[in-house]
Amino acid sequence: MTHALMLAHGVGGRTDLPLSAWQAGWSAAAALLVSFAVLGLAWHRPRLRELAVGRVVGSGLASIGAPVGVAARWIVGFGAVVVVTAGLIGVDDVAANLAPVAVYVAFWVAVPLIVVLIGPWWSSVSPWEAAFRFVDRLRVGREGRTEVLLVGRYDGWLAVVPVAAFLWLELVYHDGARPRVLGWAGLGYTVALVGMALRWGTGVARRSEGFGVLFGLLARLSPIGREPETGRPVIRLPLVGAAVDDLRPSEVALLLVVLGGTAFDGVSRTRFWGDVSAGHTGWGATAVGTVGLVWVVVVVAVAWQAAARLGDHLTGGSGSSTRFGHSLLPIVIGYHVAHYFSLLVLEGQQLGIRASDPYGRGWDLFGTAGDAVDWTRVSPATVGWVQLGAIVVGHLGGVLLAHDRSIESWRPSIALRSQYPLLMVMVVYTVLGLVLMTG
Amino acid sequence: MVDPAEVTVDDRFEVEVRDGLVVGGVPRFEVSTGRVVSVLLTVDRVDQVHLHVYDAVADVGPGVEAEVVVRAAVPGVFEAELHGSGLRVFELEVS
Repeated sequence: MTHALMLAHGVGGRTDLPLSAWQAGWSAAAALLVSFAVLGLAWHRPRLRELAVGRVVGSGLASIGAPVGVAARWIVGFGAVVVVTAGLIGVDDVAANLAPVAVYVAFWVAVPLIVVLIGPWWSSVSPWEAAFRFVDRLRVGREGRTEVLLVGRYDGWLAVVPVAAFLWLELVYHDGARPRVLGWAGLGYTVALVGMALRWGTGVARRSEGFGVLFGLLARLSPIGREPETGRPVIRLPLVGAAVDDLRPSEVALLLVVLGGTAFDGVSRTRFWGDVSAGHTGWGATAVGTVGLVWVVVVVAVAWQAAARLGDHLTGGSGSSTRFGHSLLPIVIGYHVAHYFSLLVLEGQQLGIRASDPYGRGWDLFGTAGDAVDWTRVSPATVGWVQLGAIVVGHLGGVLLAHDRSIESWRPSIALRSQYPLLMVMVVYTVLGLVLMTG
Repeated sequence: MVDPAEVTVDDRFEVEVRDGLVVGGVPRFEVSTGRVVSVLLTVDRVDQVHLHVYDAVADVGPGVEAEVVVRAAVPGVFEAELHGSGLRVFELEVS
């Protein structure tokens, strides 16, 4: 329980910004407004789509990429088996088992950061993807027959379910970091996906594997991409890759759920929330937390949709929500960094320690089992600056993506009008985000 | 956890928990790095208090005077909570 909270809500030590929440909030809001004005004055021609093409890298990188990819696939696959079995049969102690750190730090915090840095590689190493490829081999000759289900309007929406369930486990459920819970959740999810793939085809299962969908979307921000036709690796500026494709409504919803989850984690650390949830324990705390999580996700999502509607109204167009949905990507990753940076650097050290004894049986495979976490590795001030920087850079990226898309869609005067509601939402998100980080 | 008998405590604080709530709201104790801090807990139910990161643990309960004593070496804000009920009982801010 104690450690569950520690993991679920970052490190026990929350860190304060080197400047007050309101100073940070207003500086960030000012940065957004200034950048918006500068873009409006100076950026009249859409450029990101052509920049996103990038430059194909020589065969050198591609040729070392293949063996590294195969090795990574086996390592991740083996690691996933160890983590799930540690959850199922290892010592059922949050403080001694590998599963909680592996799931909440390596999988949920590190993988999104790595895909943003080095591109769309998750689908090549994902253990679920490996299972899908296996099912594809079993189904040779049968494909296409049952693929019709869920295609069309509802296609892709199932991807929201596992991610929402994960956030609920992480942030709300009172026993969410218990190894047994994580072990059964991982096994159950895998069985459900494989069953789905066998019954309705791997296409449906792939589009329902929410983490793969999410990591694939985030990878669009990466400076490393793939050429659409050939799949060859290309190098480009960071961020610009997101400008190419519109998001589907279900993908926008997925991003809003993730953003809402991060926001709720911030809310749950405030004094206000401490007072609301005081006196509730066990399932009572879970119930209160569930209401809070749903409420924050709804507020974040409604703010976005309302701004999109208003944008539609001002331009006389439609579909602002998906047209500008990709501008949520840098914002999601910005809050992700702001929120989880200290968890990654501090509790992340547990990964190396527990890898020596994943099942909590007293092993010492790599001689690291006796190491202790160095809680002074980053100072609170460093963490504070990283948080501020990540939120501001994330929002600036969002403003840039949205602006470029708007001048692609409309002539300058209308384009600018389409951006006011979105800018408003971003300013509100930023200020609230910073206040939550520090309050 | 530091043995209170061996050190001089620099800062002393007290917390009381009654009927599953912290009397007067969850306090935040602010101390400077390097100080030796003592928090005295009175709790009306049997439980165990745990100060995160410092990993200081003490048994509490009716008629038990539990004292958490630590040297504030790591900067940051740290929560202390009751293991059994999950109730947050105080925060320690070290800067």
